[in-house]
Amino acid sequence: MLSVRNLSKIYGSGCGLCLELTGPGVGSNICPKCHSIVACARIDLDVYPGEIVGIVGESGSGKSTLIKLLHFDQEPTSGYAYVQGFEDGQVDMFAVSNQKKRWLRNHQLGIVYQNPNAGLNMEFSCGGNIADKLIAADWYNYTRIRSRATELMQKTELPVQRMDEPPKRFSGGMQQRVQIAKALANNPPLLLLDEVTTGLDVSVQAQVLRLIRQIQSTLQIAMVVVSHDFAVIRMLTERTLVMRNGRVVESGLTDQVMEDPHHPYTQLLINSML
Amino acid sequence: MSAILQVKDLSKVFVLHSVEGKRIVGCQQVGFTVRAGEFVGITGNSGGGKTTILKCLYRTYLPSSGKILFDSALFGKIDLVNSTERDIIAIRKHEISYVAQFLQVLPQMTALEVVVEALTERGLSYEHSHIQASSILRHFQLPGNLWDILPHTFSGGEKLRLNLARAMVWRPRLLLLDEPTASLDEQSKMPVRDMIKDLKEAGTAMVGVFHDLSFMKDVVDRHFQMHQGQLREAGIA
Repeated sequence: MLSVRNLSKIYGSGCGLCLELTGPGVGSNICPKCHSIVACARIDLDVYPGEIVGIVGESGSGKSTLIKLLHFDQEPTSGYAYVQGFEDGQVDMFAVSNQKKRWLRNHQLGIVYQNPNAGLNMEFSCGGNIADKLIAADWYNYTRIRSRATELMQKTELPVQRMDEPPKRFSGGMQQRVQIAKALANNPPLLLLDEVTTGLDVSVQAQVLRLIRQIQSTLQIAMVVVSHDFAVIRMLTERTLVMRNGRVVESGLTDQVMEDPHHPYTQLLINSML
Repeated sequence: MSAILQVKDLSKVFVLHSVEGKRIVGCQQVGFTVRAGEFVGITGNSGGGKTTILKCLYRTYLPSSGKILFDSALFGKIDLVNSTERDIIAIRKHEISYVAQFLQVLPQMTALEVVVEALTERGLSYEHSHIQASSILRHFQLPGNLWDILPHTFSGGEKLRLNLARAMVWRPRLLLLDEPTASLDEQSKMPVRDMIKDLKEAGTAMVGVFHDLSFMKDVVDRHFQMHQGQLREAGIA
């Protein structure tokens, strides 16, 4: 349902040799010639309907950049991506007008950021944040929006009576659930989750993981889950990609990547787990 | 009876990059066949490579060479060694089940929910899943007061029974069992034996790894011994 080919993102001027001179082979993603940063290099990724794909790697490996590219938060330097729900998956989503990109973002995608401040307006009410996404997806009827927000808050186990309070008064775990409710509002076929449980204490982390699993099994939404935490990836995903220095160094079934890693870097990551 | 599984010249070598590419042989040139309704038992010393074979069959390990021909209801005859990840995921969902030595579950899920999820994931309605999950937990004699409790608080034997229930409840075409009686007392082994016999009659092919020879003798059709990564037929039971 999502097919990404040859996707690259270079921060800086770029010199034409950036991709050749960086990568796990040299252990760096900074081009020695022009000092540009290669955040993602020639990434291929396929996501099928209803599946959860994991992306792991250390800080700075390019995982979050990949998510941001897919959500149009950043513009790729090169590469293509095709979404089933847009022009039958025949048209590269990076090559279309901003208006069409907005449509894609509002109708095909949902995102949950690591930092709730990035995904929510902390001053708006909780209901207003959810409504924001619905209005963007062409919902206009106040009563319908309100009842949809109620439904989403119930689904994400948020107290409905606090709908009119701003998220800044909520705990971290609740803010994350408001983000999830907002991301689900327009029934997107693809949900992007960037380190959603990082920084939450373990009991809240378990609740959020459980919520994500429930959403996947009841709504059959496909997800890309980015995390540096193998335990999270193991709980949620069936397939995993391992990134380092902007490259995918290994990919496979999640249990296989964890129990029989082939790339030296993946072996190092697994051997470093607590 | 037709062969469900044909393993040919299966080898697995682990390459450890952190110790200068040191090679560890898991299993070598392993070959055997399992037919529908047949139970193949593998015994051998710890570290002999028994679990390596099972994990290769489930593709948790990527075999280094050889063939694993599986007679799939979804795909026809398929070699699991070079099947795509997507095909393996579909086969794991509908045809091959694995009972690991250790229980791994999502935190904050009760024992009953763990078994119910095994069925709802496979498309069964919640109501039906609930009925079947309850019935198999009763069969394995997991005390009713534990059903709504989180499994990480369970004893070893209780965890194992939950693990067995989750793997067997959806009646796979091929079942892989890693020490299915390791932490069970004699009385708790009875329902496991009955369930294995029940699945055999229904045509499930099974491969089991054992230390518990007396239990294995009751259920096994053919017995192999594993020694230093190699498999030898130990006779027909």
